[in-house]
Amino acid sequence: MTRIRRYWAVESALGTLPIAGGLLLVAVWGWTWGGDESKLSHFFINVVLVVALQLFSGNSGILSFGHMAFVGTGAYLAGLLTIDPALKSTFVGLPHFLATPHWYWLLALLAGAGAAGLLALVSGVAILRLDGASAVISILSLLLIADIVFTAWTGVTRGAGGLYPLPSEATITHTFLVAVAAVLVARLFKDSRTGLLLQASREDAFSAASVGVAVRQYRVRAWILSGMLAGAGGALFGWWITTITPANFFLEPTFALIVMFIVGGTRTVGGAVIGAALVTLVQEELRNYEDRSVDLGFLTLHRLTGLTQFALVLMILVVMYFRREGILGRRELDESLRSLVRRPRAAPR
Amino acid sequence: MTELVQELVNGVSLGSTYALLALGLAMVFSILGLINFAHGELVTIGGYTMWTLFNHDFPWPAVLALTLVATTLAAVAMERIAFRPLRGASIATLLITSFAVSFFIQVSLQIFVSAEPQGIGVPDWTDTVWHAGDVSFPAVKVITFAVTIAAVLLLTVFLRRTLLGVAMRAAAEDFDVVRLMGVRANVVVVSAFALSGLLAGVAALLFFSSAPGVDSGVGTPLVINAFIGVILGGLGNLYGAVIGGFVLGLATSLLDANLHGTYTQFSQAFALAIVVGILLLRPQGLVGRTEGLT
Repeated sequence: MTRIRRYWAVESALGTLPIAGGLLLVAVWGWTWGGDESKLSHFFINVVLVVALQLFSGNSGILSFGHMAFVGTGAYLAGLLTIDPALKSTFVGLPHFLATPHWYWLLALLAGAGAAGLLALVSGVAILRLDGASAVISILSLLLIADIVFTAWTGVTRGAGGLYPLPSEATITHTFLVAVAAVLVARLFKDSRTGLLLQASREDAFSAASVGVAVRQYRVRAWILSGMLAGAGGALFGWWITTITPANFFLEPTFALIVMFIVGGTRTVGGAVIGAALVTLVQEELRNYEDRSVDLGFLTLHRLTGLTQFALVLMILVVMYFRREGILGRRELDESLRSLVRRPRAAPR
Repeated sequence: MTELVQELVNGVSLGSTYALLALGLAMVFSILGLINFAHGELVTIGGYTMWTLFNHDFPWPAVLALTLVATTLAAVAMERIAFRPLRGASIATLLITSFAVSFFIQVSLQIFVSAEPQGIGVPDWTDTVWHAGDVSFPAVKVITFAVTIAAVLLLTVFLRRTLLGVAMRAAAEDFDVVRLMGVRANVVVVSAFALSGLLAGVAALLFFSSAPGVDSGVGTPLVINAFIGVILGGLGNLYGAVIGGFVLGLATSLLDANLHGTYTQFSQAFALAIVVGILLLRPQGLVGRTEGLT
């Protein structure tokens, strides 16, 4: 366990440099070397989402199946705030305060994050009183409730028909900046006092509580911050995909998010980013083969619907069976690099 | 008055399907701590089996038997292939795996069987409707209720009177002690899955007798409702699950009929909010789990 040092914030901010550098390389690839900007933006958005999940679940040890509720909240609010008011005037039943504004993207993103944070505050106070199986189940119930509300509140969300056209604000620059910010926030939180105490409760909640860690309070803090990041990621996601339906925030994306989180390693921010990279690769490269017929010689498959889903299932099963700690394991990238460079210190005792 | 009775008839029938599925979910959960989201896919598999057999003009008693066999085998295969390697893992790991299994089956059905919804050619007698005064009793709904009650009673006898049943009840209380008593863990676990598959098969037969058709995604909303029923009744409590299923069916039916306009679509959200409320006030569910599998 890392000791809290005096300049921990500077040190952990510097610790994100390998990740930030990697993200910058990806961005440069898009800016100047002709990388597909849409795919790369998708990667950055996935980074924001999975880092948000890591902030809560990685530190607290409670796997959240409900983060897509925050993502959806952010996407719908930020989307509505940025759609051209002339278009919105044709939407029946849209409340006035949503029908008139035409906000700058960053403001709308912050509003989406704020709304998601508010949802996290309300739900967190209720849900995080629970422990173990009850907590997992209640968080899952949050996802189910959110899906029903997104589907049924047609005046605002347009229901299953989908809300469109959202402006394409999710440019590679915007998504890159938000991704770096998210990584920084998650890493700072992880190394902060709250983060460390929360990790202690993850290892043994009873021991942590017995030495005076207010486990529930720290969980709620992480939940709110995590919800806000997820809301921001949701805002970007909406602008990237430009048509959002409730299905964008239900079981399949939840599963994809959890795959990203677990494949890279749940305990580290770096692992989350690696997971995002792998899943984005699968999502983007296999999309071309979806709904296409394939001739395998001995049999012809007419429509490969759900191929992406299938690949994600395989990924998670492989990791579950062979490497439960995920690709990175316990150490952040900079920590591994440092121990490579430095000669291992003599073990204490 | 007649409207209310009619809503109750509909609610009880809806609740029966939920109760059968909730029973299977609760049984597996009480022994393994696994919320099996792929339970809904057992119903889907039952539906596709019925579709295939009816299309090949099998007589309905044969369809009935073969569907039950298919879902039971599917449940056992699920346990053997996906869940056995993860025995003892955390609830989150098991839940993710069950999601994975669920998606795997859905995608396989889409790719290898059919991506479009398929109508099932059920026998004409399933359309029979009986009348009592102004209230109509569709035959399928009455049969659904009767079969559900019969299934619950048979299951009770099995759990109380047979050695395997007693072992399963004991395993729900404390699996380690049951193993120390010389009961093989795999026998208990496989029986739990087989029974849950059998119950899912019964639910599939009843559900698709009146449903418009089968598609690969039909299991998801069913399993979600069954899951709500399980929580309502108290996790791991079988009678609780049955009661929870019926309560949910009745509540949905009454809310659907009495909420006005756009609120109708929120009836499920209300039900779920109630679920979270119940978890907060009574984490052990409406009935409580003190009695374990009984």
